Amino acid sequence: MSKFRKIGQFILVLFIVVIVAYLVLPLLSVFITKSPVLLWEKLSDSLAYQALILSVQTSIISILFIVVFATPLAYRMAKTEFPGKKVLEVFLKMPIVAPTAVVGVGLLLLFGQRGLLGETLSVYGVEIPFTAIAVVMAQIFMASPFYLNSARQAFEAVDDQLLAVSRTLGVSASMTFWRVTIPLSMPGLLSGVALSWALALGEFGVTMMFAGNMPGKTQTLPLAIFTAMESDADVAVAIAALLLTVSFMLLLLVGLVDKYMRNRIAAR
Amino acid sequence: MLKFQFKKRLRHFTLDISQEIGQETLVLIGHSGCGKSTLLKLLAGLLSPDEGKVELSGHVLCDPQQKIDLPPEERNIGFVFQNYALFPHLTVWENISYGISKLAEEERNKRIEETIAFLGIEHLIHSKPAMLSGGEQQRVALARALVTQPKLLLLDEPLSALDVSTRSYVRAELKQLLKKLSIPSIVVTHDYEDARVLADRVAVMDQGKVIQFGKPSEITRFPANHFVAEFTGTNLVTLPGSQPLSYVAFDPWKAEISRQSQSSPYEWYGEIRDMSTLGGLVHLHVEGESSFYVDIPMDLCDAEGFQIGDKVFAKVPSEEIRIIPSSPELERGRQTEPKQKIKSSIPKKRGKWAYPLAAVLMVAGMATAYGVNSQPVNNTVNTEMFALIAANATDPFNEIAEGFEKEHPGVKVEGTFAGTQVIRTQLEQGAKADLFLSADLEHIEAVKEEGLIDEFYPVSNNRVVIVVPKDDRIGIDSLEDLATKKLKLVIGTDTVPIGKYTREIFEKAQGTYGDDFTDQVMSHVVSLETNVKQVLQKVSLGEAEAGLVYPTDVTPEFLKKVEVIDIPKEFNVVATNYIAVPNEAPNKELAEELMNIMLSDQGQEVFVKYKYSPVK
Repeated sequence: MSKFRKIGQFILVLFIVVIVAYLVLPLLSVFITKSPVLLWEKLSDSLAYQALILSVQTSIISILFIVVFATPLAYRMAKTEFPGKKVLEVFLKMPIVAPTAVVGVGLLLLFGQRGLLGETLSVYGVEIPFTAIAVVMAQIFMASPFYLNSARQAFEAVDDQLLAVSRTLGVSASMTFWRVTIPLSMPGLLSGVALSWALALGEFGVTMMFAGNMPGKTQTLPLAIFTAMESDADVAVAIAALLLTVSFMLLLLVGLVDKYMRNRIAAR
Repeated sequence: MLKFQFKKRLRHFTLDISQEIGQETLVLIGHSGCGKSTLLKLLAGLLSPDEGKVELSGHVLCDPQQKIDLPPEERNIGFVFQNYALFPHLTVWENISYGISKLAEEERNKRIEETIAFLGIEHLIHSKPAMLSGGEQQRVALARALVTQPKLLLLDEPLSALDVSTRSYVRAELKQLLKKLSIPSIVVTHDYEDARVLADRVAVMDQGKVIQFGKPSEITRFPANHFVAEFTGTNLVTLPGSQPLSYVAFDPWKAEISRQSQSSPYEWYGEIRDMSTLGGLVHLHVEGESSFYVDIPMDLCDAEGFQIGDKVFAKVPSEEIRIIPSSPELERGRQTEPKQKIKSSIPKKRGKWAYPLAAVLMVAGMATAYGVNSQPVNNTVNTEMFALIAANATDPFNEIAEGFEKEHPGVKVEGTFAGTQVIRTQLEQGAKADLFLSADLEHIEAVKEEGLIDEFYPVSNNRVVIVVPKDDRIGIDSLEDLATKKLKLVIGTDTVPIGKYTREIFEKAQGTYGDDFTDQVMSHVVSLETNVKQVLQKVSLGEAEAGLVYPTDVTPEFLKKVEVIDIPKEFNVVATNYIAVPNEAPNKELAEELMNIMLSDQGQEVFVKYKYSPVK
């Protein structure tokens, strides 16, 4: 018996090691296969800096829009029942599974010069494709479902009794949201922000289609990587390393904040 | 003084209740799901009734007829939940001050200090709820409710979250506290012991209705029906031989047990179904015509040797018998509801499983069927060739490869089609390729220098054209218009061949159209695409008003949406594809044969068909 158990355990550990190695090594190799000095040189004489600035600017704007617009929806989805909720849930998950090219074309069909809304907008002189606005819109579209999901789960985890007791203590529903719901769901909200921020930073397909690829205007880090791939693979690797570093720092920071907040809630 | 009256439809029954209480403690007792917690929520305003009215100390809190329905925060009713619902992110002090944060600091501190002294929790104020014991949590929850000076206090199962050892102590404490408060309070519980200790009045609830209301002692002595009797631990039985049936009640410890009949009018016969020990008493469950409990001293039980299954007589002295006046309520026996629930839930459960199961089976069936259909018909493939092809040559290459496969049964030609830089990287990383087709002289020369190939040959020539949307709104007719008219232009980025050729063309045209031609055109560029298809896509969607592409990429599908404008020969470029067989090719002979076909007249015809110009 114990022999079988040992073999079984060995196989399980093996599976775990294989999948971890598979998920980690490709990203790690970006840093270790080329010398850091070379990567640094390639970065400084390329358009990477411009792309980094644009990526950071657009993704911050995107995440602000996502938080402002998706939080009320996430709260509704978590705390109330309404007809059509299930259908809405499925629709809201579509951006996760939809191919990026389809999303890009969809946005063009809606906001493009000849699109349903774009035509009206262009009458007022507002043109979206090939501008930084299009970059932000692409990022919002692709990243918001992840924030929505995390926020919803965070809100669901807040005990309804706490909200009820707050009301009986003379605190209105909206004040209860700020004084109870938000502090208790903050760790979940933050991890949602981090995840969707990282996704916005990495957004490629829709930006390519909807916003085009113009250095300093619409060329974000992932587009810069793709462009560099066509000429100098080393530059591409260098920019990829930069993007990964930024995303990693972001996720790490939020992980630490999250841990700190959970500790504050749970214990002494 | 509290007066209320509610009607609310719940899932299995309708809650219908009206009650009036003064400055006393009312205990609502009933099984879980009888509507007692719902009643508390209705009172607190957390739920709205279908019909009803609530009046507390002369104020109307809820009356649909007067269109009054105060929200919970305006009702001034304290609510202590079953698990106390303390805010986990706040300390005890912050929890208690939560409801009075609008008061001036001085007043607030005074109230909190009074309350924590009253409840004896001064030592806990800096703790977080997670560190407190159940009893401490309860006191904090009470403090939090009381500090707001409520006019009514509601307690939902205040003791059920505690373990047995602390429960009786906390219960006694709670009793003292409720006595000291001079406000009406309502306690909900399913434990009769709570009712016995805490209540001034008890209301027994079943299926949304109060079935008996009174002082705890009255209810114990004269249970209104079996349901109440079961709760209070009293026996309610029919009198043997009475016609019509009359009911009597007696306490379990007042009966005597013997094996022989003692011919008393108050004697019941039955079989011992169950025995359990409680302190020095043995608790017997006897079932005959009636079902009842008897407590006898343990010594007596041992002496007589009673066993489960023994037939016994239980005699009760006549002075201990309480006649229960008959009422319709009496005939209501034990709850039948749970049984019905079980019955109705079985088919549901089956249904729940059936649908996903059917779906899984269907998908599995389809997958199997598809799998069977997609079995390779021809499994005689014994040589697989692999080619790295610049994306622009996809169509002619596939056509030539198809012909090659027909001539060589057993040979299959696979290709990867991508930008030249990408396929170059693949070759450099050791891809085992039989053919390498580059759209760029620079790349193939680099590969040659690295020793991956020896010789390479031009295989096709291409040129560059302008594409505009079919409904060209700008009116573009020539290369010159790209500089003079205001438009959105997309071109390839300068790192891909199409981008390089495009810039070459602009340079050449500069001599004719003027020195600032290139600057003018480049100022109209809105996007630098990494491949020709992206340029075409944006023009065909009408987003860009012009783009520069290879004519070979403008498939009939694209021709429905775009128009091609030629660039004069003197400015145009010759974009040449080069082909080579890598030194490490696994099928070198076959590869060279295929390459030669592509270079031959027959192969060149195919390229011409796809709008390339032949290599002379």
